[in-house]
Amino acid sequence: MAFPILSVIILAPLAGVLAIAVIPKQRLLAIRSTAAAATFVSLVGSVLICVLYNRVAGGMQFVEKLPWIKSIGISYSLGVDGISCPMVLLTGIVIFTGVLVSWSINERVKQFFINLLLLSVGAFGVFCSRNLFFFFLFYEIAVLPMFLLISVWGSGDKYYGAYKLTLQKIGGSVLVFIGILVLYAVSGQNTFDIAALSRADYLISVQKILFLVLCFGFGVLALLWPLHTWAPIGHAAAPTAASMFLAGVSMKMGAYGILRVAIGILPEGAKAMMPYIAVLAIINIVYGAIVAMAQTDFKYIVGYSSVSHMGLVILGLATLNWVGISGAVFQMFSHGVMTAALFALVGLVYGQTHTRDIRELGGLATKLPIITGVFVLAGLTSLGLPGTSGFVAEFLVFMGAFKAYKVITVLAIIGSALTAVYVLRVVRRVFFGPISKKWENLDDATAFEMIPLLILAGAQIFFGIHPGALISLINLGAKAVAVKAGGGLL
Amino acid sequence: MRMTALIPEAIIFITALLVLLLGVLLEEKQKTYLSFLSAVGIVFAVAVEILLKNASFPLYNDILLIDPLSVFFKVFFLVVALFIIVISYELVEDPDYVGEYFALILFSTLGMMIISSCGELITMYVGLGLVSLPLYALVTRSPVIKSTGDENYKGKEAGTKYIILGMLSTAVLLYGLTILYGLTGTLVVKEIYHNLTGPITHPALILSFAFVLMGFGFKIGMVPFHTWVPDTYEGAPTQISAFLSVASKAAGFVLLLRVFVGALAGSRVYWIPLVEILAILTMFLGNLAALSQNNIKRLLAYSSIAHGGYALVGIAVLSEMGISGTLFYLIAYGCASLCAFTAVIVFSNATGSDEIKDYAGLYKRAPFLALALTISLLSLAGIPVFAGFAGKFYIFASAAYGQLYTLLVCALINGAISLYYYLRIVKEMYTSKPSTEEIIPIPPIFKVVLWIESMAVVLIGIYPWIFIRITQDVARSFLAGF
Repeated sequence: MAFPILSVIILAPLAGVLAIAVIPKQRLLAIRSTAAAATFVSLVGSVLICVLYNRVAGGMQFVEKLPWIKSIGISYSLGVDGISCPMVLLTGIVIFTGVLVSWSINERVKQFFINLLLLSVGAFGVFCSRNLFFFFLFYEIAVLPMFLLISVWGSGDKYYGAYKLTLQKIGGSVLVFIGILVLYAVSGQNTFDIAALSRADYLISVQKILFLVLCFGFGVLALLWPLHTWAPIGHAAAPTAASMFLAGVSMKMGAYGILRVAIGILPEGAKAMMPYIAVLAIINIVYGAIVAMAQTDFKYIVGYSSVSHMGLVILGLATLNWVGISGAVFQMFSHGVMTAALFALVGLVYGQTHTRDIRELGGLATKLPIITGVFVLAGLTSLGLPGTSGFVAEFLVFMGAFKAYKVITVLAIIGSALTAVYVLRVVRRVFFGPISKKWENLDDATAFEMIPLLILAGAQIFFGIHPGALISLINLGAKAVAVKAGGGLL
Repeated sequence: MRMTALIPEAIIFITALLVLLLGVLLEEKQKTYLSFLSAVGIVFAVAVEILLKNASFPLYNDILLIDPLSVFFKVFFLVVALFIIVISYELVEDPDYVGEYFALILFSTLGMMIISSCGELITMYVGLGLVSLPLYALVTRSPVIKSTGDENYKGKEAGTKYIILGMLSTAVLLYGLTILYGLTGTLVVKEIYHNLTGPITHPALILSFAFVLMGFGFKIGMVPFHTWVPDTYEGAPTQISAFLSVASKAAGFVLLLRVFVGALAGSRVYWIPLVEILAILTMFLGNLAALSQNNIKRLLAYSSIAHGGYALVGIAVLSEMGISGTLFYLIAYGCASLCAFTAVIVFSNATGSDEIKDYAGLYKRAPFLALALTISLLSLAGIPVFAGFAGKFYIFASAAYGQLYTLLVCALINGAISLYYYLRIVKEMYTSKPSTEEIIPIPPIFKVVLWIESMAVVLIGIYPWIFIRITQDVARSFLAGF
């Protein structure tokens, strides 16, 4: 048997959790470095699978399989294809930088890192599972850690945020759960294996209903309008690393679920229903951008910008063609690192100013040149400037979308142009203009704090200049889905 | 020598008598050995049961059935009784009551073992009496409240309510059984099954099976026969609440399988919709009522009602997967519920309170206790990777496979509702500020029990196949009888 690299990626944070559990809680440095080491192992593993993935052979690679509950076809089966690889990499980057950003947490450090690492176990598991039982198990694993992260280490109206986020996610999970079990029942295959389920025949009426159930179920995490309401409130309440994870990875788990489960298993249903989903995606894009323009809380702005950007992802998926889906997956990655960077920066600023109201901030560029620089870069990625990964993503999505839905795409482009308005507004308000007296003694990011910022910024630039590194992977996975869904190559 | 199959019952019976007798004879100090003696008796009984695991034969002309189902439930009841006896270690302060207490638990367990094997209605009725009468005594005979030394009126009220409603339901059950006998001319369940193949049209028959269902529903805590549950669980000593919520509820399920399904499987199309509706009502009532509870024992009582509803799903499906789903769910629920009640016992022994608000900041005062309670509550809520998740997944998959989609959707909605009140406790424990920083001591024996229970919850959740395989064999052999 080959080296079980995927199991290592998934279980490294879990090993970290167990190690942290036995470290005495006074030894802060040991706890922090254990967390960093565990996530670093996962990060290295995820880089390795992206590099080592055989781009000629394609398909599922690094597969592992162990029988689990034999009588109903459940096995612990892992594998990655061209779509999962970037997602695993994204999770690795976000969780590692998340740990580094949380270095300065001083309250209940041990529990904090245990919860944070548990989140990543779930995310890695979701992106690597080839069996719906384990997919759903990993999908649900993060419920309590996220609840605790927000309600213990959060700020503002944290209990409300934690409950709203948790219950809304569970509501979505109920739909997903129903969808999975009904798929199992109607497929007649007596298995939860994703590949086997996608080969089964389903009646078109069943496909349509199940597709909608799954799409709305995953849509809660993927911020499909009008199910997105947990996001801004949850983000505002969450501590920095949890916000980074929520926006950077959790939302992608939803979109990945739509792509892998809903579209992958029910292509006919997808074809029938996607035009309606595309309309919702448009609302996402335009509504998210307009609401973001009116916000004054830093985190709300980034939160609503996620609503808008996830709309782009959903629009890309809704095209069902090769280019559109590739663009969607690329946007998932690009938005993941970009929004993680934004939340990390907001966290750094908030840590010193203790306010997130952009009306009170101003002129920080003179004091915080590095933070400003990275923020501007992430902002430019957000509005899709050429040279950043955001441009590649948006370009592909719109190219695919124009083929599928002409009017909608025009609206989407106009909507996403609004991104420039709120991004530049924040940049101007917060970082430029006259600086207020009380911000005179702010400190810029320390050398240590720059490590996560550089990783996140580097990813945006590297994949903006050299998108081929990821596109060559994504194309392989997206092509398989597009062909199956009959959306054509462009 | 088929009679050897009854050795476990004999062991328990003799142990119970011995405990009762020694309880009178022994010196006060030596009475701590009684719990040890009871535990040893149970361990021996379990060992013999495990040797019998492949046995399948009737005894005394179908009056008692020894088959995988009976062995499964007997082991289940014995293990639960063992845990209850261990966690009762410090409960009984009145030396005159020590012997009686353990003997009553053993007698009740003996009754449960008899109904696990019953193939005939009179035996079933006698067994049920043996289950219930000791429980009435155990619930009513609550110790005085430690802090004030007052009589525990809540316990007396709980006991009275339990006795009156219990008697009533037994009477109704007996009435139903009488009609069944009158219509079929036999008391043996198997013969009743063979005599009742056609559609159920006779009004008396409908009445009889409604009455029987009512009688068993009382044990399960099925709506609308659940009203005793919250008051009794709250008022009874917590050890006995745990016993009621796990063993006594499972006894209701074994009766349902043995007698109700056993006699009426031929006309399932008529009663399955009824069971389905009752399961849905039970889940909704249990979960909605649990939302507003402030006492943790009442909350667990309502949640146990709801879990009875989930386990009923498998009965409504009535396939091999469904029955094994119910059995597996009982295991998963049993572990988590025992763990939760054990944690509650430790907490209330130390603080004298069962109020949820007093659990504030428990993670600081007793980190391990908070962790164990969190694990059990999350398992009850059906969060992975704990046993409850595997149990829910499996039993709901059986409902989907049986195309009971309404039931499936209702059950899943309930799963989401229940998360709220379980999270409330977790939130109290981990985020609220404790009113006092005082450390809560966990006695070593409770520490061991909590470890075993919480590890069981985790391990069953991670690798459920061990138990699913067993329950599947049990279900297959049970259904092969039809």
